Amino acid sequence: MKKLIEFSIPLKAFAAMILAGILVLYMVSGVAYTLLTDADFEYSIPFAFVIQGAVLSMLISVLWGVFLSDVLIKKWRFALRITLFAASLLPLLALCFFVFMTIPADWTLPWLLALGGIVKFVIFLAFLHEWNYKKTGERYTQALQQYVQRTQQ
Amino acid sequence: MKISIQEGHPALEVVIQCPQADDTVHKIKTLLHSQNQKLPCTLDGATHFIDPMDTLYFESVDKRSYLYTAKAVYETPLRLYEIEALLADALFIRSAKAQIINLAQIQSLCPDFGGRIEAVLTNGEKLIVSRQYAKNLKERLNLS
Repeated sequence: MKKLIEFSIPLKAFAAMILAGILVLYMVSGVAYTLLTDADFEYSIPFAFVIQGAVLSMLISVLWGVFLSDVLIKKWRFALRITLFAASLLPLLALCFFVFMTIPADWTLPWLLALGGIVKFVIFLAFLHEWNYKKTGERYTQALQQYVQRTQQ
Repeated sequence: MKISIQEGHPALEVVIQCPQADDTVHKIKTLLHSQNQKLPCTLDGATHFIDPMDTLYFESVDKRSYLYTAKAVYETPLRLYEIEALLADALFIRSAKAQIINLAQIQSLCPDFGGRIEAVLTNGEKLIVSRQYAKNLKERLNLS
């Protein structure tokens, strides 16, 4: 029970953060779209959209909890975790966009290409990040060894 | 630094000759002191005296202090700040609010999220140097 609570509390916080981000993004992109196209924009968020956002946030949060928190998986490499997280996020986001947002069929390919591009970019960043951490770690370890050697002499 | 050993004396005595007692001299002094300094600890009701250099790290949990070696975990009556003062040695550093780590027992270091540093000890155990103390560690290792 304690482990379940420990696992679920950060997930709840993360889901709330994503939901807030989705709502802010909706309002900002809506206002920007209105300003650019002179189209009408309803300055209120539909209730259905909030529910959809909440469901999406929870699903993303669960994926994050599974792959990126240290609760379930402890010893995997960071890049591998990000790769699996991004790879599982792609079908989830695609499904949510098509189910919730009723995107027209002729937009399917551009949406999938865009999502695929973002996922690839995230994976690339993860590997770059890991490579950078590895190099920095080697520098730190070398400095430590030199320090210990110097001090013990 | 010139080092010479003179044999034939009745007792072991170390005399440091220097123009001025600077940081290096104090470091040498504390290092020499730590050679004879063993920490009182208990394990299963028996008292042991552990060489600080055999310690992987010290940790304070629920107002009790523990000493971790590769073989066992001992409880020590000393508080963490007392251990820190006692081992004012160049090889021991506070790695978290409730943790003092032995730098000589760290196998590798790696940066972690949020400015923290992950330290892998010689026994394979991983410890996190918190962001607050990572800065001190980097300064000590001339990394900042």
